[in-house]
Amino acid sequence: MGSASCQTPGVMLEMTKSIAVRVALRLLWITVAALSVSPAPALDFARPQKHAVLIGSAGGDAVYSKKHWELLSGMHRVLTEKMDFAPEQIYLLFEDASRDPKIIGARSTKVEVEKLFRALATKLGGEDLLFVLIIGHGTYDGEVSKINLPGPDITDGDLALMVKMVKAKYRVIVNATSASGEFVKTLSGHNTVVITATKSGWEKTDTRFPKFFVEAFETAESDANKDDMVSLAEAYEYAVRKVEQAFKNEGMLVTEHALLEDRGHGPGQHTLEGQSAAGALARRLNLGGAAASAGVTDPQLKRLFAERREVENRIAALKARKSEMAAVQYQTEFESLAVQLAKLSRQIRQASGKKEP
Amino acid sequence: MKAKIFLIFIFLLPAGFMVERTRKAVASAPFQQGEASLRQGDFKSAIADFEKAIAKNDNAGRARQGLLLAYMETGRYEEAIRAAEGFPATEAANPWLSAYRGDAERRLGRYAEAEISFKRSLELAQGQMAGRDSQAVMDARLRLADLYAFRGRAQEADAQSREVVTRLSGQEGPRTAAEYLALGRSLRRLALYHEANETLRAAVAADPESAAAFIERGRLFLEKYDHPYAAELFQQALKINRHATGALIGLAESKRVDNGAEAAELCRRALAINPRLEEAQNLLATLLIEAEDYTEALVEIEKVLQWNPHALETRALRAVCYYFLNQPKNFNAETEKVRAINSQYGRLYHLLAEFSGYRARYAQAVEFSRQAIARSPDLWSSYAALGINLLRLGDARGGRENLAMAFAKDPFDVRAKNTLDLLDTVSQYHEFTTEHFRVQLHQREAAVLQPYVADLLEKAYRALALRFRFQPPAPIFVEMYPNHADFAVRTFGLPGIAASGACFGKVVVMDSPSAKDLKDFNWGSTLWHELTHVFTLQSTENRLPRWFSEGLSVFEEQRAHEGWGTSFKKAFLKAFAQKSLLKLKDLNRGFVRPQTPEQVPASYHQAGLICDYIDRRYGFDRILGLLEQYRNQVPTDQAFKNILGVSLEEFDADFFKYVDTLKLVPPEKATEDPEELIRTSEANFEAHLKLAEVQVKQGGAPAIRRAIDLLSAALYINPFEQKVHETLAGLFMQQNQVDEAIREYRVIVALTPVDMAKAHYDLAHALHVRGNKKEARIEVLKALEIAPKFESAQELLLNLTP
Repeated sequence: MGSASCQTPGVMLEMTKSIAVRVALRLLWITVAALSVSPAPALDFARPQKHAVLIGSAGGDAVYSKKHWELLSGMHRVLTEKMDFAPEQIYLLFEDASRDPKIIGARSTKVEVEKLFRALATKLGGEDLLFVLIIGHGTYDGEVSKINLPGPDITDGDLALMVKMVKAKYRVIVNATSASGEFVKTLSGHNTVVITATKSGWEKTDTRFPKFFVEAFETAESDANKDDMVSLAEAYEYAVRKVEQAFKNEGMLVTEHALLEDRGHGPGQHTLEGQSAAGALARRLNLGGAAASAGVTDPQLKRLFAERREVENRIAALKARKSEMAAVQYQTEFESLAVQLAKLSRQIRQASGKKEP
Repeated sequence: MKAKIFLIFIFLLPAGFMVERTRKAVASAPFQQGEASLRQGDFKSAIADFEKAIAKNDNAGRARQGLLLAYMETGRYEEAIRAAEGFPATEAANPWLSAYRGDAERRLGRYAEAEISFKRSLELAQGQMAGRDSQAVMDARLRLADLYAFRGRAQEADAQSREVVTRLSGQEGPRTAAEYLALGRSLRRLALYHEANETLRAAVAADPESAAAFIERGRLFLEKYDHPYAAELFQQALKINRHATGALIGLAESKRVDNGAEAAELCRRALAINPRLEEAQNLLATLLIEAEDYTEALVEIEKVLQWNPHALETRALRAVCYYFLNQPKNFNAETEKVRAINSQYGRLYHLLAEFSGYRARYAQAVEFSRQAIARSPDLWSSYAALGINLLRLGDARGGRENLAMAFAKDPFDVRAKNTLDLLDTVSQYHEFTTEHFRVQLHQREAAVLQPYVADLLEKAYRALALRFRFQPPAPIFVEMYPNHADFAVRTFGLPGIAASGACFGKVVVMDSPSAKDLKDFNWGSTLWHELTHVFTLQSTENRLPRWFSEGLSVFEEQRAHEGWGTSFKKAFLKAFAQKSLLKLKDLNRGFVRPQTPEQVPASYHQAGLICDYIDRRYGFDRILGLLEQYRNQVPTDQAFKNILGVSLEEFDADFFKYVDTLKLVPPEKATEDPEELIRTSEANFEAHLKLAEVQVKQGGAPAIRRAIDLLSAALYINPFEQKVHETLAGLFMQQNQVDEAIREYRVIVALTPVDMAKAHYDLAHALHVRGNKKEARIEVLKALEIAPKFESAQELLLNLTP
């Protein structure tokens, strides 16, 4: 399990079981789910096409190559097993194409990467989502930032051109390489979430971020709002916290500070404010899973879901006004809505024959 | 013709000298050779060469100056005076010869004669110069200023210094390195430290080959506690002149705190050049006093008094020794002698305050600092010491006031500045009280640490009060700092100490776990160790020797918890194998003047083992008996005879025999057995977790209780690991120890985990089980505010809603 990477295996025993239960529940719900509009409103990509590009840099040595492969293949597994990606919607490029020909599409050279994005440009559009994850080594010479591929490298400008060729509605670009921070400037754009493992090109040490980013999609711990889906913001925040903890546990100074940018401009933020504009899109986007209401046909259930969405929306609106309200008034209104929501959830469970949580 | 000028700064720069280079080459061989030998520090050859030059009338006047300088540099003070007296009448008008003669007289404690010589030097120099004062005038004034200050005649000293400042800071300003140096020294004497620093910097720039300029700057920074930078400056001076005794002594003083052995070695190097160098002997005595070896210190002191019975600092150090040897009659007699030399000599009390602080007698240190200030109201370092010691006694207001005074008058005092800066962060700390303690934790970790700190403190208090049959009055102050530099500043006013905890009697300060590598620090054992000091220091009125205080703290740590107090064992085993364990009479040196860095931890463990041995062989009552003896100021050898019935030599023999029976050998290879790791390493977090996992898998009440104990112990190493708290909370719930589970869940919330909604929900659930519906409702609503769809929380809310 993902969080088994923790340094306290003895203590992890209990956690691992709990994660297993939660993951099982989520898979169960996915099987009964169908496309519907999320109330709060989480975007759902069960129907629109979603395509993932996973790229590994040149490893440099066997240790890094192995590490990069484990992360990329791990993400591949997460996408297929948990995020409902069809294998043909995942394009994995690795320095050694013979490592696992079943899932590796091509060698991760600049030529192959360009070829792939040209192909995707003809495929994606409409409501589609493009997810790109790059793992490995990057460099920065004070002017140009690069991803170190076998053969010629890809610069931040190269990647921006390739990504922007693809006319997907949403683009999620995660450059988790060292020295990746400079990519925020060139990749940010409308309906685009850019995540980098470092805050600048000067943070050049091997990054811990990708390990925890991948792990975020495997553990229930990352699902902060308990909607049984891990948004990109949740995955990002989980990885950031885990990176901090890892450095602290090792007694080392933190040498990487990830950034997230989803406003179409700006330098990116390390910490996401709850209701601020930064992170708003990343909170709505996820890579998979589906709302519990998806595919419901029973009229009574449909009504209950509708009522529940209405209360959820009222709670969201109330929270947005919190800073303008007297604390007592806010608390009273929130309690009332929370009780209403809880009652509706209980009715939905009872109507759909589910057990108590 | 301009005379080639030799300058000597005999008092501020003990035995250092600077030779101003000639503008014109001097041809005669003996004089030239003498000058070269003098510059290279080959004083024996210099004396022979100058004697030849005088005999051959080769630059005889300047050769005579060189000869006197060489005598001074080698401690041949009487010969310098005799030589000066024997010089021909034609030399009577040479102001430098009078100046050097005065230097020699001062070195021998003939202060009145020295004053006459310096005044004559000034008159001669003034008579020879028209217009701008000569360097000889400036130097005569500097000598007089030093002497007046030394005798407590501050106004006269200031007048001479002001005269130099007025002359050299006029329109023209200083022209040469020597003039910058004279001005810098005068400014320093007038407490204009910033200006002095700038001027001395200019002196170095004007002549980068002037060792004296580096030494003078070094002394300025040394005076202001910036020891690392001072050391750099002294090293620069030694690169220029490796025989500059002023630089050697300055460097020794810079190293005094961090490396006493090196400081002593530097003193010995200086004494090899000048065997009658007062400053070197004084520093050697100081190092011995710090090691609480007053008898040996007196031996060093006596050496100085043989040639200078009126050596002020030496007399003051002698008074210090008598004070700590509890010889009030001798102490009073010595202080009278000090007063006879300088009735305003506040430094005597400053030294008493300093060494009282070393012996953890902070109340006495405060009293002495006040006496120092009463005698020398401009002794700003005493205000800083007073402030720091008041803080150590828990008087925050008094501490701040005196530190502010010190800093206002002397902004270079880094101890005052650092401590004031730390005090300015007080708003970042959270304070809470328990029955016996007032505790200060940093806000960012208070919610996590507080329950465990409070619990451990009261547990330790109960255990130690029972054991020592003594109850220190409340409140005992405990402060934990998440930044090691802050802890160091709180302890000594300076960063850069290796210790993790310190006890001032009623105040304990220490690193919090955030300040350390979480893999090699056990804050629980450290707290227990320091708290033991509270009991032993207070019950003896801070009179027990360092080895016994540390030994009892290590011993009590070891008794308190499996594996605690083991971190120094490795160094001890090595010392044991190398047969380098210290005898009991020398054990204090292992703490304060170690010969090697490893001698410190080895001495801690050895002291603990000695206490363990006394307990086993004689019983703990005898340990209490020894404490009683120390409280009554009985020396160690007598205390051992009175209580254990053995001499120190007999005790050593018995103890080393006992150690032999323990068959102590360092492990051949590192063990991986977690049980063994926990027994032998107090900070092995992973071993605790591994063993706890085994216990959880095993199941059953005893195994679960053991797992709880192991995980609870792990929190004394790393209290910030969320998984440990989660597992503990789960086990407590399983054992129906709901209150303990609630404590863990509260800590998880305080850790602000990624999954905050779950953290609030888990706490709410436990509170609900406990029957605390009101708080459970508050917590579950917090969970739902983060995650409105959180179904488990929704259900709990409904259960809590009427």
